[in-house]
Amino acid sequence: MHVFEGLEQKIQFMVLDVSKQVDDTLKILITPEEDAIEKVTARDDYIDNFKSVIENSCFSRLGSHIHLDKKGIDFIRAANVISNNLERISDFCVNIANQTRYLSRKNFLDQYEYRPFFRQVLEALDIVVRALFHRDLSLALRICRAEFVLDKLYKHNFDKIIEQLQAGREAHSLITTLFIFRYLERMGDALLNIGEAVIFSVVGEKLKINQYQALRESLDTLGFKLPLRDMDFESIWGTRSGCRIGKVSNEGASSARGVIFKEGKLKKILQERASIELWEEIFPGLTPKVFGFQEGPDNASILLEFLTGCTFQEVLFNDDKEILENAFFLIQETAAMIWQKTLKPGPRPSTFSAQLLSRVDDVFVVHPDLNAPDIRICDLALPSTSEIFERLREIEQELKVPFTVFIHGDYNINNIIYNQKEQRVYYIDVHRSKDDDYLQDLSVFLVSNFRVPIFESSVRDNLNDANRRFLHFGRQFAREHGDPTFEARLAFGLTRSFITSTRFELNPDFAHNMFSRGMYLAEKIIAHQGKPWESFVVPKEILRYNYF
Amino acid sequence: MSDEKFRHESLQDKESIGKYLNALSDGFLNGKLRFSWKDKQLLLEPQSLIKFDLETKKKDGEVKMILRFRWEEPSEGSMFIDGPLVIETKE
Repeated sequence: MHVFEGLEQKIQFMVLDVSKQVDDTLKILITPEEDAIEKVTARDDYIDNFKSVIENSCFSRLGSHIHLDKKGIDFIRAANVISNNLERISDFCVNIANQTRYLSRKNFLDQYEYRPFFRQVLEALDIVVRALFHRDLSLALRICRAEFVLDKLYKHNFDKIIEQLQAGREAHSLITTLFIFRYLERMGDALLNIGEAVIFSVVGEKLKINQYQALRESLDTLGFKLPLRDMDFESIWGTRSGCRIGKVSNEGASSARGVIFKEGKLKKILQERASIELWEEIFPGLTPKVFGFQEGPDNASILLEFLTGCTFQEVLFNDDKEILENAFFLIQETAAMIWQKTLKPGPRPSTFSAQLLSRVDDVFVVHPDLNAPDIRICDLALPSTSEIFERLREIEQELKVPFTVFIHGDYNINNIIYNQKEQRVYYIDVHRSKDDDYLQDLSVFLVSNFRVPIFESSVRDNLNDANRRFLHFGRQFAREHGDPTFEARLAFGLTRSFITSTRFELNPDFAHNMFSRGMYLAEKIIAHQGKPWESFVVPKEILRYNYF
Repeated sequence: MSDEKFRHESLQDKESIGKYLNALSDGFLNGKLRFSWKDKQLLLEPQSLIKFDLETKKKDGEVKMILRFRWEEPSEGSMFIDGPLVIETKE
């Protein structure tokens, strides 16, 4: 790592100076002296310079001719974050030193336990260089833990100060003391950033400390005994679903196996686990196996089997007709099998309008122009978008779902994995699975094909064709199982999905295209009211993309 | 009102398009085409001659039909306005 030699030295010096700064600040609190305050202030300029030098050094390495791999770049990013946060710690020292001038008497602070703060900060600073340059994750964790301890110390002192303030004496000095503790607590935040930066440089992913801990514990229970730095962590889908999803694989080992690590809100992860258990009973092997599970107060993480294969969306992008045909056949067969096996009679209300209403505000945040007011064209009065949605909600109460099946709940083409070799499909992301209207899955599937933002005719033809055939499949299932209001509920389901899908689509023309399809179906539904719902028909062209 | 603009775009089919065309046709007959939205209103009163353009195109399965109506609003500057002709002289 010779390219980083100079950098290591600079960071080492910077850490030493920041440590001196913290040490001198402690001395000021013990005995406030003007000279010492000035010394801290002066050293801060010097530390600011250090930060600039390290920043220059980082950026010039990024721009230099020396080839840097991802690891090298990650390291430089981490070094930069660390120097920024070291500089912040120094700033807090200056803030604290200045605050002592406002204390009513020199020994005012003697009644508080401020020394433990300094011990924590100094101990953490002491291991920064080793953690970063030896890529030592347990040291990084120790740095992160300092924040936790500092928070506790702050809380303790905060409560004491509040109590004293209520007594009503020495308010000025008490507030000053509170500020001092607040700056010490913020040093903890900076240390947490430093620890997380070290984790980033080793793991190569922006993992928050709790995510890192969850991943490590999950891997431990799974029997991955390798240190995490030998693992390859690859982020897959970012965070759109509110979960962090990444693939971890151990490339070095002979028995390479991948796992999917998902971290997110406790409720969602719990739902995912419960759904997988239910699917395991209904259709063993359809969903990934659960290898590990970690629960925190708000967040949880789950370690899932990494299923090999490709999503149905990827199959549609590929122009291999034989594979497409095969994948489509397997998807239909699997759906038909599940629907038949889990079918439960009994009417229940249809809920597409409620789903639409709960998400439509997000649509209008992204596309405010789609929220049309009521208008009048000569004698023709057209209701506003919100009036139309309200009418839909009323009308939908007339419709009943004749039977339920166990649905995927988010049956879009990215959540279906096809494996050609094993001749099977898998379902992923099943946290919304439950007994419900099969039209929920059907309409989400159809619109997930439509909303793919690719307009090349070869792909578009595949998407159009998939929709035509899946609609045919759905209609056939409805006929065979006696579902007379299928078409009307399909119109509701498509309206809901066309409209809510626009919140993820920033291309205004395409968003408009989908929105107007939803509104067209909505108007058709409203115009049909009063006639028997059995006679309603969804025009199949609504699922065919047009180039205007 | 010189720059007022009204625009409506939607997806229709061969049955539902009729109500839009009928509304416009009635508007022309009454001499008043009123478009309103929110608290705004645009009133068009075609009185004189109306230039009517109808254009239709078929290309690669896509069909386009453009109906265009143009007319002038009577204004102070118009030479066909009723009333006496006044000629002012400079002192």
